[in-house]
Amino acid sequence: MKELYPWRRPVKIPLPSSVKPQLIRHFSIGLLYPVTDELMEVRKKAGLDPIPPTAHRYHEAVEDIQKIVKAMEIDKNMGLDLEKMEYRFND
Amino acid sequence: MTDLPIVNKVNPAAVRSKYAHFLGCVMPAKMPWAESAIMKTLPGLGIDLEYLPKSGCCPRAGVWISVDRRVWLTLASYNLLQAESAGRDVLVSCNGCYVTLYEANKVLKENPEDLAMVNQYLAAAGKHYEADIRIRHLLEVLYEEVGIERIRREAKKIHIRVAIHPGCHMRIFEDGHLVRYFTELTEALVDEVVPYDCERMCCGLQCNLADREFATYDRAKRKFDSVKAQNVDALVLVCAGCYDQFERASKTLKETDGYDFDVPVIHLAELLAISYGLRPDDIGMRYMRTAPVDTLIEKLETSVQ
Repeated sequence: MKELYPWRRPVKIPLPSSVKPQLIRHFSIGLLYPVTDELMEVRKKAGLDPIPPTAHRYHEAVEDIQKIVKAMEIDKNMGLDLEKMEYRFND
Repeated sequence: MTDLPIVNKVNPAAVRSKYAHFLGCVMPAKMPWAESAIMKTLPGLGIDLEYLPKSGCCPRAGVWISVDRRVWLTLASYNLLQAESAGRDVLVSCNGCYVTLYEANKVLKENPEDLAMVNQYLAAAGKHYEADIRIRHLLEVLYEEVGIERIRREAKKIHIRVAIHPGCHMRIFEDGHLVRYFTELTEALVDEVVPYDCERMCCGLQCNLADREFATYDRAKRKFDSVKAQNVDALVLVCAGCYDQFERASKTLKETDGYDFDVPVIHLAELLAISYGLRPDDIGMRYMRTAPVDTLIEKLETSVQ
């Protein structure tokens, strides 16, 4: 391939701006949507616990996700500082 | 876990399994009435159901398979191992989450090298996954395990006309059985399922990542127009991803253009719950809706009196 296409090489594609905040939420709370005061009220009215039994309730799950992400070095590849939850490169 | 290999070998239609309900991102945060309806109705139908605890985002296969499949397989496994350690199969209602978890589980069952790779990363959190459970869609559990004949026989008919939105990922299997289950289950619960032009059209969720305007106007709104023209009482779905898109799009269209999509978007489990004797207020049906549900609730209550 190199002989045929000498200029072809892998390129770094910028992370789409629509995805960036989603990934920060995913890696900081484990899911894409937070639990708000309004949601807690509505969940109670639905006969549910105000905080769902997801990573929202179990912070150790979020810590596990961050350990896994670091082990895969996804954070480095994306330029995401997991401690500050900030991207090193902004649009 | 000792009984699971036997469970995996027999006809799924004949199995009554223990399930852990995977909630995903959208259902607990935007559809509490659907979560409540599922958790309160299925045990009464003989399904052994608990929550899948500590779960995170599925994660979105549509994104992660393209970016880095290790993330898809490993974070999906992190969710599934919580059920495996509790000796339970996984029940999923959202089509998107179902595809993510079902496909990841299939890959890991069939490819020992992928399973080894995943466990290498899970070890960073002190976790391990055997890929020894089944992932089942809510529709499969209702249709095959509760039984469509039983539901047809027992469910009290709700006197409303509805349109259905199956969603793209419901077509994961070539035989189309999930779409058939969805259609037949809805037909068993209401007077009429009304067809409309754009029934097969995508909700537009994934398009948001590239072009929000296209996702809103060329997908969701076209669908809304087509549903509104049928003058139905509700638009029924099971996919939380599609609901997320419809909720976002209807809000945007109202704020930007004054466009009112006044057809309530509801979950199949709400109909099931009402049909089996729960009251709308038992599941918090009035709150966090895309459109007013007062008229619909009146009809539901009249139907089951």
